[in-house]
Amino acid sequence: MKRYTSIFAILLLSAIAAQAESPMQEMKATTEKVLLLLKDPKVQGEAKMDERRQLVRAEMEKRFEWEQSARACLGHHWTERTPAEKAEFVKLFSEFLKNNYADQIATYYNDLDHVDYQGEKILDNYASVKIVLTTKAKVEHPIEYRMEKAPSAEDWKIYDVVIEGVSLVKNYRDQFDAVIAKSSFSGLLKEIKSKQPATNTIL
Amino acid sequence: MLLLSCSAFAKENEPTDGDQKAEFKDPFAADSGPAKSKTSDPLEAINRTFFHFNNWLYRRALRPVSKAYRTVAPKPFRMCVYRLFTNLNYPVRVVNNVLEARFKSAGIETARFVVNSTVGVAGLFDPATHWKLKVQPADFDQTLAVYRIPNGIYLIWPALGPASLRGTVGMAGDTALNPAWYLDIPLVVTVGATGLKTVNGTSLHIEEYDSLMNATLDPYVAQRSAYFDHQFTATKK
Repeated sequence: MKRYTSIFAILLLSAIAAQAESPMQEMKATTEKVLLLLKDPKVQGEAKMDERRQLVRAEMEKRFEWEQSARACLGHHWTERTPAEKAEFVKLFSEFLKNNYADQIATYYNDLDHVDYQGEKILDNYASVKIVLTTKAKVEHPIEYRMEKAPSAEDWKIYDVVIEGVSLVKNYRDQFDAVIAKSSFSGLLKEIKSKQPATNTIL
Repeated sequence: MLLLSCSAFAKENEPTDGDQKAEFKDPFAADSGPAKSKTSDPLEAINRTFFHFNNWLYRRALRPVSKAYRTVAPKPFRMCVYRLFTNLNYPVRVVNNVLEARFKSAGIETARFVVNSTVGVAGLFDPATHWKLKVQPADFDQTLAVYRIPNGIYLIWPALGPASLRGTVGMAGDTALNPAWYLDIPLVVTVGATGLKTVNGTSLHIEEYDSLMNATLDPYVAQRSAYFDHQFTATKK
């Protein structure tokens, strides 16, 4: 009986391990899925830009941890905000990021030649996954995804993207600091709202 | 027992990363650039003036010229021009790789230069990368960082863009390695080549600039933060 229990335990643990993917495996799956969706012949061309944008937004929704990202971008200002202010900021910020970055991904995906997955580093429930995107012009762009897996969550989610050494979270934190110092937190919300698609203009 | 209970109570109420009320502490933050408090920008008012000037120059002159150039020069041609100037920047990369004691990288750069200048038809093509001889980036700013010279204050130069004080010295050092200073090249050719390099490079990134400007709330701060983070990463290698 004891022998069968041991065998069962080993099989169960193996099954669990097989299902628990590493952060790099999860990022690879997401990247490959997004590229496959974008390269579908049915969504090619300028006329289909909106559809491609929506495809990217849907995948971003699944893979990003918006609240953590927003919390990181507000820095020490986060602790001073009420729950309602935090909720409004998270909602506005996530829309702001989705609008801007879905646009760029849906525009430039065709310039991509291949992706190299360099490695991952895991610290408790945080992980860093490093990849290199190589364009068709053979220019390499190192990217690092910083991810978190909440205790109750099944998968890893992104809270920061570092492109060629420039952290998105740090960059926005510096900007938001400057805007709040110049006006206020309400002023920051107003600025983010002004960047919604209907009012995007080329400067 | 009482002390242990108090300690446990204090720890339970201490904000942690799992507590969404607390400020988020990124465990990988040290891999990124310096905290904002460590970047020095005492000339921010003047820098912002030059930043707006450069933005105006880009919108009124560089972008329209680059767009017009793009309509007459197909992308394969523009990529050849880009590769030509990358190849001509060999002296900067090789000298600085040597100054940084990265002799293997200097060797690779030399091999790249020879291959691309011959097989690659004067650098118009890049067979060296296909043969796994990749670019080994290095410049004088990076070299000064290797010798632990700090960045110094942040500056924005009219028409040239952002550079720390160290980066400014770096730009001067790189300019001194430009072959135009040592070869008998007429000034008008040097100026023309610089113009072509700038317009050609811009033509490859026009929409990215516009997208980035739409994605920022304070483009001046965004550029400053990105500059220091990028320098930090480049000098870590």
